[in-house]
Amino acid sequence: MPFNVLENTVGGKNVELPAGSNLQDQIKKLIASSPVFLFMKGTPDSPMCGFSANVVRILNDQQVSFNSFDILLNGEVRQAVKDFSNWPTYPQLYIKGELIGGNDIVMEMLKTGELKKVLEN
Amino acid sequence: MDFELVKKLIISQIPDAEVEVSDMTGTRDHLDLKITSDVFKGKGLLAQHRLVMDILKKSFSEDLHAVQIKTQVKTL
Repeated sequence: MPFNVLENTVGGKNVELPAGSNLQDQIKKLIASSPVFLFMKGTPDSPMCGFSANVVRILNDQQVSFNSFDILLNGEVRQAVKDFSNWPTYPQLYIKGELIGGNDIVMEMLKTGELKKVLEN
Repeated sequence: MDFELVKKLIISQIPDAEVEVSDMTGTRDHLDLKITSDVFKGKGLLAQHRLVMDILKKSFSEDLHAVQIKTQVKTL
């Protein structure tokens, strides 16, 4: 794994910002670092916000491994990701490089079974 | 975050919207929003939410940390 893995958790792995030519490039590398990627407040082991914690719990329940980045540790990335995705809040869940949304969308998709479908194919 | 302001902001952009706003945590910066409007018809979930987020985005930088959105179309 190219990234320095801070914590070894069941499903979620907190990763550091990879090297890159610019912030945009680094963000793309982060998102591409695993099929399921989560920008969150805190880490899978210790989420710092209820919404982030809830998405981590859902991903763990779905037995999905994912990489995550703690946007509380880097204000520059925190702002750059909002511009990159044109989405103003956290957490932000990406599946196969595509923005899925925040906690409310993930909950809605869980209810409708859409989340399982997207994760599986 | 002033709830009336949020309602006015949304209705100014989505005239037929029925908006319910509630405070999720008591700290007035985690909002629960339920919006009923035909503007969501035929749109995917992310597109629906993005439509609302774009309206709220201006107020996000200062005092809104999180919002939970439930969109629905008017039932006939």
